[in-house]
Amino acid sequence: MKHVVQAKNLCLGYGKDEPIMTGVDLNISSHDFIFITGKSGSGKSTILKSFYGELLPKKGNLKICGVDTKNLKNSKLNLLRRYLGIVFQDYKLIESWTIEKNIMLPLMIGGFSKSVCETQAEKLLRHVKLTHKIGKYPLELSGGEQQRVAIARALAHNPVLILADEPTGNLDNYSSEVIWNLLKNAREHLGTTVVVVTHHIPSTIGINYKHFFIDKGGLYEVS
Amino acid sequence: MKSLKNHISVILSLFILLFSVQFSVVIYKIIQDQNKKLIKNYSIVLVSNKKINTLDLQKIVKEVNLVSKISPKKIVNKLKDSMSSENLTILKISLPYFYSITLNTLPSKDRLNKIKSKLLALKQVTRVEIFTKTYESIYRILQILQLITYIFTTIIALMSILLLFKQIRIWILEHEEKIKIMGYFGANYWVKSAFLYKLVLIDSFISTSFVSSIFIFLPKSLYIQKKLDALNIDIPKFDIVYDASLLFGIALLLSLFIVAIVSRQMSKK
Repeated sequence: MKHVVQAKNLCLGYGKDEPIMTGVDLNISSHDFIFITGKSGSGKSTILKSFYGELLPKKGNLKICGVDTKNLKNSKLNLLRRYLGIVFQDYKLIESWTIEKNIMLPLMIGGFSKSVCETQAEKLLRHVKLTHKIGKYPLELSGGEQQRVAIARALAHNPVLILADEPTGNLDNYSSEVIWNLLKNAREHLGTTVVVVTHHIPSTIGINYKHFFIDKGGLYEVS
Repeated sequence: MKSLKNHISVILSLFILLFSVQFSVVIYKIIQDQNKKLIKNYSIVLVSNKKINTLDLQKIVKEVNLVSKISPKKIVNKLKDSMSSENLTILKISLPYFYSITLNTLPSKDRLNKIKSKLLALKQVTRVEIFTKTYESIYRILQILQLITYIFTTIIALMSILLLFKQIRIWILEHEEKIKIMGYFGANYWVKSAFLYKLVLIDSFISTSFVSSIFIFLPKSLYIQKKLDALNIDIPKFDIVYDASLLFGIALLLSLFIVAIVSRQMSKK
């Protein structure tokens, strides 16, 4: 698959209000690491929401993993989301589940057997260095640890595309660095395409990436 | 603790619903039994020129259960001393046929009169007599009791259904975040709602067990038995396979139906 995300003259907005973004043209290739930045309320999260089908285009075309999101039916949207791994600023972990069960979620949805889910969860917990927290619930972990669990969950089913909405927004410097390393590793070792929406790009990121900036409803590539 | 409270709300709603259903079934069976007893308190005697059988009369009056011939032997024997044997033979030949009719249901007074007219309309029938005891008032009381029970059951059932709707809506709201998160990873409707279906399955089983236990053990209590004996009422036995399965079926179908409606309504929002 050459382009993981293809947007042409994309127009996004909520309800009957004025569109937040207009005329967005964007192509994201496989293995790309993308940063989308912009001021608060500029539409960073809005564009990401359209990538995981939470918001459908008002006008224009948007294809994610080859699936046209215009008039997307629920069943097709569910299938599309199984190719994606989403990381939220507020982690969105299921509080009543242990961290390993949270990580297993995408695999359970994918219909994998319990043993496969457990093996993969253990492997990912080792990868995010949280083996010692097995059996704990999200609220028993620090913010940084919870975000590591969220990244492990996003990686569990080897997604084609990882969408991260301000993944380090609530974290201290050390935890932020750990999260950036995990996202970089996902791209380098698993070949996953990563799209990150953030306020600022860390200076120590140390990889080749593309940078897009949102301003006045438009999306511009920063060279 | 909160989850237990939510479980109890559903179990209690289902328990009340199933209890009222089973209660009305028991009342129905008791009334049917009492009706059978009352049927014995009246009889219809029919006089006919020709022979009549049960099938003939069932074609005209569907409630006819049995037509049995009344032998005139007893009356003829009484006349033995006052009549000559020749006259007795002539009397025997000229006597019409007497029949006693029993019905399979307890008809109202109006229906009994209609039955009488229908029978009298037959050419061969010369006379129909209905010998009744004062069962009419008892019959009415039983009918009123049955009606009250049905109304009571319907009201209770409706209230329980409303409570179930409310409780399942609360469940979904409580798990809204979890359902949403599952949706972000591509869970379909069945995966997202699986826990709800599991919960109602468990709660249906628990409520059925409670109601079954009550209807199995309560009639066995000496106090209840004494009271029922005094009223000459036999409580029908609770069939653990048939009755319990029926109650479980009602509870499960109803709660699954409510979960399906509420969860689909809320997923559209």
